[in-house]
Amino acid sequence: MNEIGEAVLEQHRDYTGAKVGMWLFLLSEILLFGGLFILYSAYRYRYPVEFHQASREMEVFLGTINTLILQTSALIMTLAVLAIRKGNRRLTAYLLAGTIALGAVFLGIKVSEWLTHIEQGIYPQSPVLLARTKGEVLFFGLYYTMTGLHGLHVLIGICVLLVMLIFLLRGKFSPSRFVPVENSGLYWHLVDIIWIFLYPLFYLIT
Amino acid sequence: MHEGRESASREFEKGLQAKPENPAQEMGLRTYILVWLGIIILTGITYTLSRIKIEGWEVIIALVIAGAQAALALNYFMHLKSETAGIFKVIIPLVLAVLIVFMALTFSDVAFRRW
Repeated sequence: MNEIGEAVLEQHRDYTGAKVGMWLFLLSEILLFGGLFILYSAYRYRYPVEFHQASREMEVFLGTINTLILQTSALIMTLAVLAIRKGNRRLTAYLLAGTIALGAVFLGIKVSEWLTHIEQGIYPQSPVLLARTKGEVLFFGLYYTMTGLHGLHVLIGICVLLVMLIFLLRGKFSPSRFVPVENSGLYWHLVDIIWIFLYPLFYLIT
Repeated sequence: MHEGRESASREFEKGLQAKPENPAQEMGLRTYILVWLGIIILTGITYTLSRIKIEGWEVIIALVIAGAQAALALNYFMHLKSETAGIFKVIIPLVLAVLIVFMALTFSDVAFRRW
């Protein structure tokens, strides 16, 4: 068997190409959420008072904590990529685990917020909600849809990072092969950036 | 002859293991921490400003600050600032332009409706 031929087949990698692939996906995600943001802006333009009214139900404290949690997890994720670049596998593992943990806390807080609202009878199609003004109904529809879709993305990100952690522990990554970790980081940062816009639009309407 | 083949493949392996061009190598721990602090501080500013009533400008200010935070995350955490491949300079502005066009078209309708 030709050893050199095998080496070529095993080792052909395209670092930039891999990143471009992930970026194209991220750009499609930006268009996805972008559409929802445009929807939000159209209805907020139409019902500014009701949106303000409805947003008073939001727990600004929890929203702010969640924002800080996600932004810190983005830092931890960046450091994880830095760590594997330097070849420190153990540190990479801890940092990946840290990102996953922070993401899980974020989801936990988000779910508890939703449960609070649902307990108060505010959820899509609920009698309590339908008794309110049209603008408020729209606000909560957008709230559940956009934070729900975002939360789903966080959950997917956590699963992806778990897979990365498993691969890392199986020794698949090294300073010359880490682009899956970097790509996972890119996805995670996008999820963070989307939340950076969601936070003021739902929690900080004055 | 056996030795010759071994050393040739070893050379080849070494070449393959040469580190890929890595834009991210220019950024280190200090940069990342500073960027993170910047993002956190901007969150604090957004929150504080929302507690002060600034008639009419709140949304724009909040969005500008969010945009600044996103720019920090994109350029430093996502390594766009040190990215050498030219394709990124094309696809990202392209998608943002598409979004802006959608927004502009939507608002050219919405803003003139009598709901």
